[in-house]
Amino acid sequence: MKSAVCLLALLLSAAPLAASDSRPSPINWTERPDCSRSRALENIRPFRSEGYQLRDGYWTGLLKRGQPLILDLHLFSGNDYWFSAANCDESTRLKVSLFDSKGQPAGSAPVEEAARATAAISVAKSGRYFLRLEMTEGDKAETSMVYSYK
Amino acid sequence: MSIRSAIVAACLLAIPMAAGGNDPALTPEEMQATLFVETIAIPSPGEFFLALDKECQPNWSKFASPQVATATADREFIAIQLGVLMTDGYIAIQARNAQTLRNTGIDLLMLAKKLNANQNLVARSQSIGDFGQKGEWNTLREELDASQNDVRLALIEQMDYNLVTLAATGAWVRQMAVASSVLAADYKPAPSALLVQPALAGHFLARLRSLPERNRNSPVVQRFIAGIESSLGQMELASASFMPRPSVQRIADTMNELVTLAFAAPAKP
Repeated sequence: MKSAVCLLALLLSAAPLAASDSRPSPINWTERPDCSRSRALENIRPFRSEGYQLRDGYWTGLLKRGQPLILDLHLFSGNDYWFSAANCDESTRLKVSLFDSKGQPAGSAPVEEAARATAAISVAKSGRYFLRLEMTEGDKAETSMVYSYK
Repeated sequence: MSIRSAIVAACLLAIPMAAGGNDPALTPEEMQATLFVETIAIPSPGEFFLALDKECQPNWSKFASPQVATATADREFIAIQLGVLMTDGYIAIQARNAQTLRNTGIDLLMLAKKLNANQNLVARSQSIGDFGQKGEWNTLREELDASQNDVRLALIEQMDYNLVTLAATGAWVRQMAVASSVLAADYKPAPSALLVQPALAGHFLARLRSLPERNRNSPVVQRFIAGIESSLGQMELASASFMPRPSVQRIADTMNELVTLAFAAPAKP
């Protein structure tokens, strides 16, 4: 039932900023054992010892090749961020890229590997940023994106 | 190179900014098709205050006197107060004040219970108290972040979407009130850019305006809409690199007024 409710929330609210309903954005916290999320967290967990803190928010969904996902972000100057995406299908390849408010590439060169990808940024200018998550090899897979900051 | 070694190498080089490697810029179509996932797109108060702390080193103790929740049966007010108090928890962490954090946790539990959203908070409040005693402030930020999402999820499961919106708005307004007060008291152009958040202000406005008529027309929601509209106007006047001092002061006045209003709830009948 919980899953059904959350799925309903997801379907009804998966809308861009301009959407005119009052439902919250799509987050399904209880849908799965979170294989993809666990893997995404694994990528950045080592940095906790360097003072990075994990954000509890994440995105999980079906990512398809040729249909990149572009997420809105607001980052603050002076903070460092690591973004990490992963899925549990080793035949896929993922890529995470960051862009500034004008859509120009920002942050570190993305690191991509089988079923995992990361990108980092030391923010010099506060404001709106974008994250593009894409599958560069493979067909489709449930994928998660998480981030940490310090 | 494995992903782990690549990450470590990047860290050792202090995250060299290679401007995204050879990525092409986003196309206008892509910029129009972005997804605003609230728990990612809206920064946590912890992120905001960390940046503010680096820029201004505020005296956090000055702000670490949490609001006192008023006895009201009005669920809209309770949701806003819950959001404000969540942010107060982060302020207590910044001030490294374990006792204030514990007290805030008790108030949060009480408010969440009124909204039937306290199921997971009981265990969390215990661990928050323990981490506070040990001074594990970074872990506390994560724990508070998780608490905020627990409440959010509980409200979503009850289909109380309107309350999710109001709690998130309350949390953001309190952050803006504190940050703008800090910056107004000791104005410096560069840190003032932290207040330039038009996409977030626009998001909260869109959410509030799309509340069902009954909620939208309540006096407190109308005041919040007007206050955020006014602050958005100030943000749009600012450049991306700084906000003029009068605008900072105006945002501080507006946001503090909204926080005060949120705690002047109609008394419980």
